[in-house]
Amino acid sequence: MRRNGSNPLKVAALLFLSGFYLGYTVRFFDIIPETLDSGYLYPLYPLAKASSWVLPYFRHGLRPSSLSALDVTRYNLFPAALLIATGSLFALPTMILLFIIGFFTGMGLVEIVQYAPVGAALYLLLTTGLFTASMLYCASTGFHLCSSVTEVIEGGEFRLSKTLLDHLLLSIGITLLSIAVQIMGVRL
Amino acid sequence: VKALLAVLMIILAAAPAYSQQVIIEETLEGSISYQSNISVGYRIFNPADRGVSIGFYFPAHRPQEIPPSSYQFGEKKIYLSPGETFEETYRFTFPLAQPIGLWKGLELRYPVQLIVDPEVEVEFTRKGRLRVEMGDVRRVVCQGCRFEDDEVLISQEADLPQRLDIHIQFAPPLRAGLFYSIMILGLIAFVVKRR
Repeated sequence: MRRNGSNPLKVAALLFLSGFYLGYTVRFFDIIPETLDSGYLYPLYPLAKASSWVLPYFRHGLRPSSLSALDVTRYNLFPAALLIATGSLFALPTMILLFIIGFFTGMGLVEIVQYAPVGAALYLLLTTGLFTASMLYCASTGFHLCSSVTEVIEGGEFRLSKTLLDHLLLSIGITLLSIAVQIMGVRL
Repeated sequence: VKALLAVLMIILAAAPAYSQQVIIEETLEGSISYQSNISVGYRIFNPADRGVSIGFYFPAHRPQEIPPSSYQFGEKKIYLSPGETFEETYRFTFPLAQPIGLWKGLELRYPVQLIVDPEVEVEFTRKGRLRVEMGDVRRVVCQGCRFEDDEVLISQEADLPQRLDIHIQFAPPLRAGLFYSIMILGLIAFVVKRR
């Protein structure tokens, strides 16, 4: 994945934003009239539901289930771990997953922007930004990991580049920050 | 014999014409939200000279996630003797029939239908008011309904009990549209800058 001149973070951003744009378009124009809900792909939608910020959830006549801090942690750590770990599979699953996560993020954000109160919408946009940054750095780490694996396959030594370690540390930091900010939202 | 026939003719002419008619008055009260709570009262009067049976039919398209206790689905039959009146109020909690689209709005299909023998003449009136507890409602379309001050005022008269369909249309999704426009402009700016 890592070749001369390539920038994994940019590739990750491009993939994520493409998915995001598609997801937002699909939901905005009612091509899919209901947001596909998977906390593992976009943890902020369940958070918005649990906080009653996304009104259409009530159409099924049930109060949204409560969301615990542990749920938020699970929802954030799983995609992060997935994006990093699948880098060793030549980064193809990482790319596909990142696109899908972007798709779900775009899809979930439509209802949040439209229905949530202004303060809550701004808070969720901020947390979406943090979640996006976390996913991009995780994917970038995965892409760097792919390069290391490829080098080993080509007969080289297994080396972890400095950028990989930097991005790994950033991934962990931003993911933890994102989780902390989301847990604050759960307690609101 | 002629006198007897004349008397019979007079008796037949004087006898009340056979009529088989029921009067059904349906009164709706409640609220429409993403989950609707509606109470519906029935007053059914049988002025005819023979009994009539009427079936209440509650279609069983209940989604799985709704607790069965909040529904009273099924069938019910009542028999009204001549001159008898039936009065009862039911309370329903049910979700809206269609998924919510940002543009499409949604459709409420009031789930109760009355089944009356086709030979029976029916004088049916439906009245009531349903408060719409949803934001951004642009208009409500419903036959024999008016939408005023967040309330659907219903006043229908028909020969047969009809199903009530209420179509709620939302205002265009302005905030989501604004965000979408910002995204598009950002994309255009990015492309122009790159070129």
